Amino acid sequence: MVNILSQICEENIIDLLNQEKRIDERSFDDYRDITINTDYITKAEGSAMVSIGATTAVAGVKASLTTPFSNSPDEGIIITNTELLAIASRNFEYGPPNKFAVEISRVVDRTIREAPVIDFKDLSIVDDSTCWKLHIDIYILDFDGNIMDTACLAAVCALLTTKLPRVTTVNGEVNVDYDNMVSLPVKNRSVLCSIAKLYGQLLVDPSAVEESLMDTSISIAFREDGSICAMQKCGLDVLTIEEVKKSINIAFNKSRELFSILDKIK
Amino acid sequence: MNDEFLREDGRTYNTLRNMKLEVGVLNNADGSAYIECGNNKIIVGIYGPRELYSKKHSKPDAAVLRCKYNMAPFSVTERKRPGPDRRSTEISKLISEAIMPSIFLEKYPRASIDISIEVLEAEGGTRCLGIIGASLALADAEIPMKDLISACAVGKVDDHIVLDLNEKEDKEGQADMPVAIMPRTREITFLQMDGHLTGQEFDEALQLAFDGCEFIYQLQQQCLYNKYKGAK
Repeated sequence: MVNILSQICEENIIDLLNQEKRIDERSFDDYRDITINTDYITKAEGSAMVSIGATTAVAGVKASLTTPFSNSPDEGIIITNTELLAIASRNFEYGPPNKFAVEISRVVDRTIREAPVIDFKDLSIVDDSTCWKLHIDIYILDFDGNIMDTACLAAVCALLTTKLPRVTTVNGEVNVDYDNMVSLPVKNRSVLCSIAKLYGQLLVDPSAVEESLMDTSISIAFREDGSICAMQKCGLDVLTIEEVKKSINIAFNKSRELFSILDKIK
Repeated sequence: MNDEFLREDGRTYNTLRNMKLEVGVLNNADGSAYIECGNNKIIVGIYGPRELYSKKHSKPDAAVLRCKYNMAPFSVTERKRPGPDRRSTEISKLISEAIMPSIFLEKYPRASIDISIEVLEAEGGTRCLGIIGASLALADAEIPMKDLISACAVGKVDDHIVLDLNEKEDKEGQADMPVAIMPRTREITFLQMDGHLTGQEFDEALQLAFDGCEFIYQLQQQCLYNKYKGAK
């Protein structure tokens, strides 16, 4: 991905950073405005459109019945997939998910799986033979930095609003009652918070210009009890132990804010 | 006879579903449009005119129009596998051909204009809505055009010729005919049909399609006017 940024803009950002300011006048630990629109796609079992600033993602959950994996016969299956759409940025191209999209999918997947947002055993219907498979598809519609948090928030909101048809088994025969939709039982909610390192400073929710200058970033996922459930450092530069610890502290505080936003949905 | 016929969703033969058109919805795209029609949700983004990366495919005397129609995995009842299939490849080709006659491509030699049509939710009639959105997004990108392209589908349901088929009518109806026109010259830029129509029914259907397109044309103009009325 090639990002072209003018010299004067870059110098401006660095000057402001030295004065502890950001180019869009946020403080270092401020998120941009977050909007969440749940049940956006009628045809999906669960869905949400989430914007953080101008970055917009739509997540949709589609459920189907399938056979469980042989190494987890009493659990359902969740598959997370991210598409960076060509409409979102002039640097995104059509084609199968590239390494950036795959990384986002996998980090979001771990945030959901390790929390776990839902108990995978709840997705099992008949052990060894039938279970729910949930496809969480994340569509990035518009890009202005911090896709990771936007995608994760969209995926979690979509899961929290997912309703599956009630399933009954009579003599081993599976009956799906599409007139009787029930919410997925939520086990542990989780949120992801990404911190970018830019010229030695740690910034929450980097915008696209900040990301184009950033040295490295770290994404940290928290459960509601404050424990960490997933982490990912991405980017070429290094982080010191102090920077990682400081990032965890900042991210923990921001995760409280994100949970209070999640409280408002539904 | 047609006047008394009520369709399953309560519409008469010549009523469109509720339609919401919006332009300039995306932050990075040079032009964009968002359409809701019934439960259909479609977003269109334009990048260009821009330099064509592949010189082999560029034209020395005109811009190349590249169009991609793509359906989200969660847009349909049964999850659709991501990526192109035969249906979306055909629709992409036809939409770019439907739009092309309206654009002054010769103004941008060696460039490309890229149209992406993303169907977020589908409920029948997405290719027509894709054309309507693509044309609006091109106007939003300030690309010079002869006219907007307007499109709608007509079909035959329970032996009646009806306008703007929904998903069920599309699947279970006797005929389906999407049409796109350049309303100012009344020329047809896109025409498909499947099912069963007599010659007389075809004439009736085409007339109804023109009426529908002309109504949508006014909505398109109104949408652009609302966005740009204050602009200089």
